[in-house]
Amino acid sequence: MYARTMYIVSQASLAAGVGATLFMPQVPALWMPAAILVACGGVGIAATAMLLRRATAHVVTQLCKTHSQPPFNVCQQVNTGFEVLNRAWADVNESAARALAAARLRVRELELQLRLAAAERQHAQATQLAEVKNDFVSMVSHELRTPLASIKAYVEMLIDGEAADPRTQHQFYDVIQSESNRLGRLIDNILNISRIESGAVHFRKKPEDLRSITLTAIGMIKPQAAQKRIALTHDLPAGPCHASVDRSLLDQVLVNLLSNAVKYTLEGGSVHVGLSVDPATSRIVAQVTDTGVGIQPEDLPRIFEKFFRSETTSRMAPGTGLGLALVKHIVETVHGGRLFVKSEVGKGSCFGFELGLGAPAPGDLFGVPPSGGPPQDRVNAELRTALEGAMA
Amino acid sequence: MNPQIILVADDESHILSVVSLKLCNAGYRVLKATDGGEALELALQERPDLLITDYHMPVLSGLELCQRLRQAGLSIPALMLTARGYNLEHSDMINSGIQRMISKPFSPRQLLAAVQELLDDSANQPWPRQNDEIDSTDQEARHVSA
Repeated sequence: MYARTMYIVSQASLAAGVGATLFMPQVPALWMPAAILVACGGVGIAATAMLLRRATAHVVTQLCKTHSQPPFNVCQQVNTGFEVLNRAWADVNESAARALAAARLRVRELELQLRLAAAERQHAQATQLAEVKNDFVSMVSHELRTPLASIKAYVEMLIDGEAADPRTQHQFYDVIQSESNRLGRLIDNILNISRIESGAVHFRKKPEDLRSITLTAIGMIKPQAAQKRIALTHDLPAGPCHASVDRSLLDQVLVNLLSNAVKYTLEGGSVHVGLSVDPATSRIVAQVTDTGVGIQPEDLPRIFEKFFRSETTSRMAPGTGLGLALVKHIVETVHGGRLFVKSEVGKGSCFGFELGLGAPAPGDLFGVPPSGGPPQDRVNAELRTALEGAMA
Repeated sequence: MNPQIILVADDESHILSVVSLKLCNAGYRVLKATDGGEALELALQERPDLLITDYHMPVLSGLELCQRLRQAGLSIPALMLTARGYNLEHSDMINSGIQRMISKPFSPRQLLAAVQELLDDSANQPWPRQNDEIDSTDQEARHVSA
């Protein structure tokens, strides 16, 4: 009997254990089967103890009764006692079986609940992914349409002879050129971020003059700054300052930082570019400071995340949320540098990066190490596919 | 006859310039605004005959601008020029008096044609005005000056 009860209790434990193993992947849910296990054991042991006590008490009472009433039949009384004991054990068995059945049912119920929760989670993730993809595609298309709109409109105006004098015509050509550049930069941003993340881009680091890279970037942003009457000033070292970098990628970093500064600074503000070399640490520091709208402190930790757009900035100007993510990849992943940002709402922001001057390694061809996040990240992969689909 | 006044609001200065030039060359008087707030102020001051507005703008979006103008009793026909890939909700357009959507990239030629059409429509069949009093005096004033 005792063995049978133990067997039943152990079966209950086993069932709960199986339940637990079923849910091993959902570690936070492990406590549930564990609780059932403990509960089954507890119920079994408590029921056994209670019934044993009841049966023993009955036998003793019967024995005492018969002793006081001679002639007594010990055998009969003992038999009665055993009968009571048997019934008691039967009760124990029955209640254990009931507890076991209830536990099994509960385990099944929990299993179903967990499956349902997992399915709901998957569904929520899929919905979120679809939303991110949708937002991204509409953002990208908006961003592509804007410069294209200028190009198309100005070309049509030239064709229709709406630009009367050569000076106006020249202005139109300038607009077409700078908007084409803007379109090109946007496409570069989109493609580069997806290439760097998938490890498909190869870059060539060689000694380059950061001063000339900075000046080129300033030249590219000048028309945008002039449009908004933003003063674009710089403070660069007198001579060239060399560092081992990939020129076209670093160009993108500076152009992105400058174009953001101009984009998020109101008309009549100013943007300042600083470049300095610290011979003591052999590090080169570049900074872009603006008098723009600034970034909310709670948004600061997230601004380098892909697709993240803060409330303030998205109200001010549309964007894809890719520029800063790309900047971070290029500075940190590709060049092993450090990116920093300081910002005060209403006063402005300062974005900058620090690079080691680095031992020149002419002609060295580096592969891109895997980026910060797992490259097989499903969201990234799907977005990349969406991106490539959209770009195709 | 005085030229009709068109208010153009867009934060992209290239677009603002090209639209203005096209309309000026066609003989309209053009007012320019680079954000929704500026556009609202100018519209209330100058009471233009037509509004051409971008959707995404600082301060007030194009939709908010149109709604604020209607609230202020200035119900002029509006044309929305936007790089959004899809149209606004029909109810939003009706409620804010947006009569036409033109998506960017756009053709200045077609924009001009749409502007002429809208102005002709509003001259022939006056757009349902919310504030008749203001508008009747406004139209009278224009009639006298014409």
